Amino acid sequence: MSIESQPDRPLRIETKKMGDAVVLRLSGHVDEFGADALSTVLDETMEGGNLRIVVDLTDVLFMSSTGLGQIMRTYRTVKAGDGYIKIVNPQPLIADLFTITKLNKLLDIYPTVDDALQDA
Amino acid sequence: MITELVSLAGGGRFTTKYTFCRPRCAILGPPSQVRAVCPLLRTRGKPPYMGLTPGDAEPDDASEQMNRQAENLQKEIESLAAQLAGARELISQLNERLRVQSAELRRESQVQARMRAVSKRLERQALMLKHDNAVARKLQKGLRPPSTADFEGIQFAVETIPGERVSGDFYDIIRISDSCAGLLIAGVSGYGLAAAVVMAQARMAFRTFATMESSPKAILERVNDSLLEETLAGHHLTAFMGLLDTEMLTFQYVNASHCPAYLIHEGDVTPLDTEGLFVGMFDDPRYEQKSIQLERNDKLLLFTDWLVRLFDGEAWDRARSKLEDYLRESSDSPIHKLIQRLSEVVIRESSADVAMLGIELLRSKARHKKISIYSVPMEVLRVENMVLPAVSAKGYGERALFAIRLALEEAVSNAIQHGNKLDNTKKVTVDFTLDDDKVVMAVTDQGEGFDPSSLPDPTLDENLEATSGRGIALMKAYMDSVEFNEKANKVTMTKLAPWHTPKTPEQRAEPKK
Repeated sequence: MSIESQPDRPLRIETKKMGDAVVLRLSGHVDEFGADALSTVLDETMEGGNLRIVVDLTDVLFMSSTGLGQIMRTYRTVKAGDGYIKIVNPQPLIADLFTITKLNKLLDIYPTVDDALQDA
Repeated sequence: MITELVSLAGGGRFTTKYTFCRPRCAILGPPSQVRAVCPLLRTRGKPPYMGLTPGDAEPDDASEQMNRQAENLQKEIESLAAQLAGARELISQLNERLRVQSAELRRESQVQARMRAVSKRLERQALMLKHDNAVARKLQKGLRPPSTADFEGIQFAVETIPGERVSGDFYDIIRISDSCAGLLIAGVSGYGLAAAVVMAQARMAFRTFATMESSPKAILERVNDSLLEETLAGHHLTAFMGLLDTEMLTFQYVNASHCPAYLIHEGDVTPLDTEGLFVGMFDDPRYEQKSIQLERNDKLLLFTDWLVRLFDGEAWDRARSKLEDYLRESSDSPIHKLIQRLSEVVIRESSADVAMLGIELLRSKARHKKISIYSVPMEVLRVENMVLPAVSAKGYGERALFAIRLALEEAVSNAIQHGNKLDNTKKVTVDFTLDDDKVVMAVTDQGEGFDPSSLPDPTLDENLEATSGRGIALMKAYMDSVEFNEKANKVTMTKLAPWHTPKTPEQRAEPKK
């Protein structure tokens, strides 16, 4: 009878410099508002001169087109600057999004952060 | 002299009585006076006054001696003038320092004055303590909300029984919209005026954030934040808060360390409880939100802890199960009768403050709901919070809920941003129908519409790098049907119940699998 419905759980983003890359660990919901927060953090990361970005989606429960749009915006900027954006461990519901939109053809998706960092 | 002044000033003991008037008079006066003053003019360096001392005088040639004296005097004047200039500089520095110091002293006295005022206030408060209880009681009474709230088919019953001492127990019924009632019961720690004041603050915070946020979890988090900033140190509250959709009869709730509310359903008594810490005490109170579907004739009972204690003063668990037995036995009673009988027990057995809030549903749950929102991005959450609990309660699983939320968010965001172009005088309407075998959501905006066939396919290679334009494709992928009206300012999306279709979004996207 009890059910979970928490669309307003905020998105938490932790950033960590690992080697020559910055790892963003997201947890929560990348909805309209989560995407805003993600946009801010991605901008700060790129403005700081970091164009090698790993986005860990392990704890992401929801994502809409706005979140995908932010990832693609970043993809275009880092590619132009010889960097990369790598996606780590999206859960099945989120992984579906990349498949349906065919973004998995452009984006490299890894099972773990270490795999993403080791793959040159 | 100057160096002495410096050392004095350095020691902080310099006062304005040391002026430069004496050396200046001495230099301009006759030699005898100069000599008399000279011992005062000591320096640590080479003494510049040698020529003025009697031992230095040359008696053999009076005029030469006069000349030498005049020369020495001239040197003396120059030296003193230089020292004077330095001293003047020093004076101005010292005056500046004095000015700063006296300002600091003034500031200190302001602090002292404030402290005096505070202690006076404390004294007055101590005197007022005698009247404390009476004042607190008045405050508590004044804050009591109307005992009836006007929602069709929902019966409310409330009771507060005053005890010997005023506690900060309170309830509230907040009309959030025509079809949403906020139910709240809470208790502030402690007794008396302070508890009553915190109660007033908390009630105000709940009322404010209940209209701004769209889920009990978000409301409690905002109240928690505001009380963390404002409340008197050491006071906190326990609270149970729920939002009742008075049409669909879904109830979303959070329990922040209060005693669990009870659902009385066909003779069964079920506690409604969640994780969550006190309100106004922790930065991260970890509120958990749950949601249930209520049915016709269901009753909810929210109350404060002394009601439980009445049933067994010793053991909390035993008291809880006795109360549950009592509720089970009287589960056929209308809610106002139940609360009336409980009040009689409280008045007879106890001298404590108790608050109770009950509802009874005299209507069946609706299958259709019309939601109207302003064109503000935040309002997407309001729609989701009205639709998802009902869909979830219907038995839709995680995957279907994800799909419905995604399609709804895409459609409502499009309507707000592209349809109404964020013009918040325009509205977005969501017609939501929950049938036994499908969910239908129609989203209408007041914009100019568009031509859906003109949209590029975002999954084509040349469009893959686009930063937008995936919303409608996602709606189509996740829903079983997506149809636009002719103007395309209205989109109707249907999701068949999972027990009705085995398709997953992935299978729909890749039909060959």
